[in-house]
Amino acid sequence: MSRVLRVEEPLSRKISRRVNSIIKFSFLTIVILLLYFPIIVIIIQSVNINVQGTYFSGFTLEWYGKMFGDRKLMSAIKNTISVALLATVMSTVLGTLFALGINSLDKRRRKQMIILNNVPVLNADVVTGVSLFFIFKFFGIIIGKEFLLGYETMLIAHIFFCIPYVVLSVLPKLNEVDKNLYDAALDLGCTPRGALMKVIVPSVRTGIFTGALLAFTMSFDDFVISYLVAGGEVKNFSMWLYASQRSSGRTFAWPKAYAYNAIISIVALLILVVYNIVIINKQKNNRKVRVNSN
Amino acid sequence: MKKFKRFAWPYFFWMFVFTVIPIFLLFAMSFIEMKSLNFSTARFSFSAFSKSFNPIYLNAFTNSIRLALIATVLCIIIGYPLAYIVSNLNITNRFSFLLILIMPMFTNMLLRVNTISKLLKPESILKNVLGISLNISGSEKAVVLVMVLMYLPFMVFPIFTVLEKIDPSLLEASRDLGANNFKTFLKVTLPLSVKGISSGIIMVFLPCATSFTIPYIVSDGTMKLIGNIIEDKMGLGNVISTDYPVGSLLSIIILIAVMGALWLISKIDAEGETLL
Amino acid sequence: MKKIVSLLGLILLLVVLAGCDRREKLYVLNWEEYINEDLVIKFEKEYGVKVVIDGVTTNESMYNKIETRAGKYDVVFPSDYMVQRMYNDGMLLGLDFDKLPNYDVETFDDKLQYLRDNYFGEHQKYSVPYFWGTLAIMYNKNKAGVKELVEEHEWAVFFDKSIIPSNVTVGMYDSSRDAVAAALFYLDKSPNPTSVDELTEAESLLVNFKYDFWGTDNLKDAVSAENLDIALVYSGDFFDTIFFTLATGNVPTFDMHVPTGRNNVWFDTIAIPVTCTKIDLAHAFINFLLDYDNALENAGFVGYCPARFDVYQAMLNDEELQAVVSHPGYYPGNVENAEVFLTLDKKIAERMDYILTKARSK
Repeated sequence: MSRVLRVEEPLSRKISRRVNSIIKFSFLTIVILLLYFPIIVIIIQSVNINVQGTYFSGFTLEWYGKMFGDRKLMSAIKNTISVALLATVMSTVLGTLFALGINSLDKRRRKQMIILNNVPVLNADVVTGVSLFFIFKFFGIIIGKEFLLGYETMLIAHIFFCIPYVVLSVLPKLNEVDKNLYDAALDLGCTPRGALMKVIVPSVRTGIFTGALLAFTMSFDDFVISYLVAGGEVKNFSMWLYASQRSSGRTFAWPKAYAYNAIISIVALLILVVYNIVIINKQKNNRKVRVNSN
Repeated sequence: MKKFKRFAWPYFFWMFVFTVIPIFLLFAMSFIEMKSLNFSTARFSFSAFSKSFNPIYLNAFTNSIRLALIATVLCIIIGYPLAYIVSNLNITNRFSFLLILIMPMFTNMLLRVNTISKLLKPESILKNVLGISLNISGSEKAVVLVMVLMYLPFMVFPIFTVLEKIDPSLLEASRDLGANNFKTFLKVTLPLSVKGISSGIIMVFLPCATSFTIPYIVSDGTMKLIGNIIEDKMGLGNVISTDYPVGSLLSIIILIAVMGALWLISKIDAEGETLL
Repeated sequence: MKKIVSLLGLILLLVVLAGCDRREKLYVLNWEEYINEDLVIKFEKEYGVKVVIDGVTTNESMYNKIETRAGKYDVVFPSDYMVQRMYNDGMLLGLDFDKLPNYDVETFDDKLQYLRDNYFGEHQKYSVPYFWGTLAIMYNKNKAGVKELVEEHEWAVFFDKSIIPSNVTVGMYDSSRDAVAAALFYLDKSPNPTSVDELTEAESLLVNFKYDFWGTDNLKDAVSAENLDIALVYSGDFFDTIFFTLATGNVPTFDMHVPTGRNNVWFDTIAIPVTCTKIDLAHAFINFLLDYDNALENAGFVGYCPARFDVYQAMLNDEELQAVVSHPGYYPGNVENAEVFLTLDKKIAERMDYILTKARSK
């Protein structure tokens, strides 16, 4: 047992600390508010009777109904979600494997691969999109199929630009993994696949998760690349919105877009809240266990 | 671990096809002159070069860089303190913070940019509900503001990640050796976080400089930055004659700039991996 | 791992099921919001097919999409001068008028047919008129003095800064053809210049006037929201917005003026591109749109004047539509000094484009 000596803080110190905290807290709140301001407006506009959004003429839920009834919009939304989910899964799996590959290269090759990996991340959307467009075009000419662009090319394009994000998230975590862990697992009798799945993957779990989240976000929100490689038939939500900027709004494109994004925001917020509750509960339980075992 | 080397080759091949070959393609296309995308009319020519190096495009280029620079600096000024404050908080789950930052990015960027742009006009819901009438739509201020709002999280992420990794015992050691908080920050924290700042700069500056939706929507079409010009030339815009050779040349120039940035990163950060 | 694979499988299954549509597909490349969706559904039901419509906002995009084979379009909707250009570049298939029983030259508006005969004779084998319209000036009624300004000065409001009060904002259409034409009309010149020198004055006009807004379809929204006072638009943009404003129960705060000097009269057409893979179905679709009742239903949605004179008459006599359709700006035949756009030499087209890029890059 130790006795802790409590030293009284001078009043001026206490005040400056308090002020400090207030400043920090206000700053934090203001910035977060600024970032979320568009979202708040989107949610408000989604229930606004006034279509143009310059006045708030009243509360209504009709846009949500109209949104589900718009077959072009629903098709675009379905495409966006399905491409995002598929691209996330594929790019996460592939990205993790590729990160493993890069990790085991010698220093020089590794640097080169990383530079190559970062090109899509840093390149302008337009340039990436056009490059992919040309590649698909030429490939089409080679295999004799002139109209290659469609859902598949959009999916491939999304997987393409998502993989680098996964690699970038997993690679640093891989660095921290003990190089001998894998061999140790093999020595202890694991199959290579088992060692991979049960030893390596769990230790880079947060990296994989972050990578997947980033991949999903980049794919979900993509516009330029999809516009260039999706061809004439398939649209994702961004393309639909861009096309609907002709919004004399006979088809009420804007309110429906607001409704859709309001739903997304609320769902994302719920996930965030639920996640936090789960984590806090977990920690409470951990603390309880620790206390009990004392 | 060496066993996994074989995973690297397929990736190399994949990236080669989708990244390297297009670079050669674009490069080759800068040296021809052709009618739209009709390759049978393609002829060798330097016309793309003469068309590209004219004062209008140069103007657009410098404007893009200038505005992107301002936006990036603002992102550092706001983003660094933000990352610093949060990394010092006593919450036990850092991931939540990342989620909070990333959540606005789930809503469509086009929509968000349009929403903000509408708020900046004289007649807006802000005016009719709160009496605040902003009239900065169309100005450079507005474009920079929207850039910052859209890309701030990209600055915060890398800085936050790097700050998290700083060993607290280093800070303790510094204080034990007599440095006050400010000195500790200046001599220990800041140098260690340079990697993060450089990642952040790259992740914000490049998209801002090559953005075309933000300038197009927020400036009410009065501003054409380099991203708009490339997208016009590549068939996305409202122009009579798309010019793929010129567009390709401009894209190559941007690519060179990107490569330059990557080279710069590899100098600052030997491993070149902490881009996020 | 197993969980991931099964999730993937489930998603794949959902995607495949969602995309499953056994019906034959007709690919259409049209302008945005330029066809009544109910009509499309009607056609789908009648023929048991699915119509997939892709949209563009300019003729040039339309041209690009066909040329780069971005999609295997069966039906396309080019404007008058674009038909010329597409035909010259071998991008159109001829129409088989035996398959278009609803096509009757007599039903089209006289003035429209006059334009077709005199300027687009050859191309009547390749296209069928759809809607027609003019360039117009849309303005904010609520701002003092704007109406008088527009009616008195017409084209000058876009090119003479000295007559514009400081609190009045002016927007220009982001289409090189139309913007430059407006400048040429102001200079009392032809919108079809034959040499680049004829563009120098127009260039300095456009470059030196600092427009507050460059846009396409968003111009009319800005005016109706009172965020813009004067804008160059297509005639139908105005009526589109009127229909919409009335439908949402609001009072229009805007009006439009069709310049009495030189003005462009254009018509959009329906044509079949070389990428067509379903020729009979494409003809059936065109024929469907030419039908009187369908054209009437279509015109009630699209804000432009229909090519068929009888349909226009019917709208004039319709109680509901009358108030809107009787506006003098609706019927392009009212324009006295009508000028059509013809295809331009590539160098001139490029120059026009350059002028616009220059004007917008300050």
